[in-house]
Amino acid sequence: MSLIPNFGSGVNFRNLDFDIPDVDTVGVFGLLAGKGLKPYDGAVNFIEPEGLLQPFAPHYENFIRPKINEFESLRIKALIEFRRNLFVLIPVVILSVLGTVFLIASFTDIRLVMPGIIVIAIVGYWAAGPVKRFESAIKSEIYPLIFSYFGEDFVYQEHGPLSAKSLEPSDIIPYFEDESREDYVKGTYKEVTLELTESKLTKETGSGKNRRTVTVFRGLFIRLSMNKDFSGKTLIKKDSGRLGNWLSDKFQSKENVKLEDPVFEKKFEVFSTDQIEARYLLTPSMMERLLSLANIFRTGALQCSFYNDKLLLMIPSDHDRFETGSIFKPATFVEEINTILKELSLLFQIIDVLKLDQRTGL
Amino acid sequence: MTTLVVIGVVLVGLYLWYASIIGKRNKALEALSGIDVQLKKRSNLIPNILTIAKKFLEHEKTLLTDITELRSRADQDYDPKDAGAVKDHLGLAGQLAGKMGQLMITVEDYPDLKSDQTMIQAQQSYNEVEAQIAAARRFYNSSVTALNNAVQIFPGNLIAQFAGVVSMPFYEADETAREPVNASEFLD
Repeated sequence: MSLIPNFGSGVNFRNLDFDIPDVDTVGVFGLLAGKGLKPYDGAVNFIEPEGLLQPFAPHYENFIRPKINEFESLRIKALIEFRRNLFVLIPVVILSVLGTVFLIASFTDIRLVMPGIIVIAIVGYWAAGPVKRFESAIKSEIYPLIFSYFGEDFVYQEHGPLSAKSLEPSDIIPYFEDESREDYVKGTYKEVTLELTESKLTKETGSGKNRRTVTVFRGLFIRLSMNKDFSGKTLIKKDSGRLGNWLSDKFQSKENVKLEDPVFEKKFEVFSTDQIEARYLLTPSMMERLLSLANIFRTGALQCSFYNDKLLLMIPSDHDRFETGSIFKPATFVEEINTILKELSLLFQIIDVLKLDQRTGL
Repeated sequence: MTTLVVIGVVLVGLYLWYASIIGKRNKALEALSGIDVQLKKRSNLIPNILTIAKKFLEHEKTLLTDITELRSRADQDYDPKDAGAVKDHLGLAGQLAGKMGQLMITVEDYPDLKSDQTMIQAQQSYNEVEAQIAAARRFYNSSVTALNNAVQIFPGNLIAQFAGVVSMPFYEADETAREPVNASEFLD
């Protein structure tokens, strides 16, 4: 049985806060001076956020608080290693900068900056290793515990199976050659199965010296199950002007669907293999809801595809989601919890705004 | 030579205009057949709904008879290229929708019928088909707007007359759906 909590209406997770005593965050310079290397032993007084109909405090007490001691030890260990690495990195940076200045002054060739950058990048990557490993441990051990609050079927993986390749049948994935993705979430809300992943798609352009990597998409893929199977495919894309739309129309062997809502028509262009099904999906109220969704994400570049029994949303975003809190702060996971509550509330809002749980009329 | 070029350009232009009008007419006919597919689905559902309703609606015989009669008239064949026949056909479909709407409201007054599982399922299917009909009607009306603009605006009207293409009627919502609601009936 799914334990989907009823969050009540109008709950804005962004404003939630937890009451824990202020702790000085030492930062890198404090760390170098040897500060902040003692495990935090202060109290964590959890204040139940208003508006939540299913309390979070018992979940925190049962599953998350017992992990604090273990992760505080890991955090201090990671900070000690990181501090040791910084004592190697800092001289390397200073020597690399001085060496680069000397080389450029001697040979007047700006390309000589490259060896210094490469050395700093390699040593920097190595130096940050302990921090990355600590963050990865939080994602693999603590995140699933936090996500379990939303229901038994909610899963989180650092790298999930929702690849751009597997989404190609939606016909809105742009041409790409390489993909990197992180943060995969899957679960059920109001009987709608949702999947989310952060993705970056790139391709190579030009040739020879002009060859470079171009990002064709960076943002979120959100796939939602619909309550019915579609016979055709309906795509909603950003309006690219009369010529752009006509070209898309020709290349994709789908017909342009002209809808009655002038505001929607100005922002989006709809293509479909089935004119009637497109209108069945895009009722006047559904068009209003999609416009609201575009406002929530503050992006006019929102793209959607109704295909098979799925709705795929492609939302461009430069914002890294589901990031862990600062390693300089105690491992109480307050930041992580707030981040996840905020991101998930946004995801639930999509289902609420689009009313995907409704059986007919969409 | 120049005259020949001008005549050639005019002829090509007229042909493209003609092809565009025929394309729009065919689109409207395609949309009309899309409506008919959904109307047929609704027509197939009605006997089932009436069979369930008859058991409970002893005092609504006139309404049930009207629906049966309208259904058989709406199911009759017609010529989709005859604007008058299309108008009558869509008019009957609209009247049938109106009567079915009345039936659905009447069902609300009979708690036993309203809570009957087969009736609930039949109503869900009916609502689904009505949503499909609404979508088909929007596509049809959009296609008819494009066609009517093409055949009514000069010089399209001359070309349409030459090609024998005429305006087509819109599929309008049933009159009963547009009647103002008397709130006092609900508040009393």
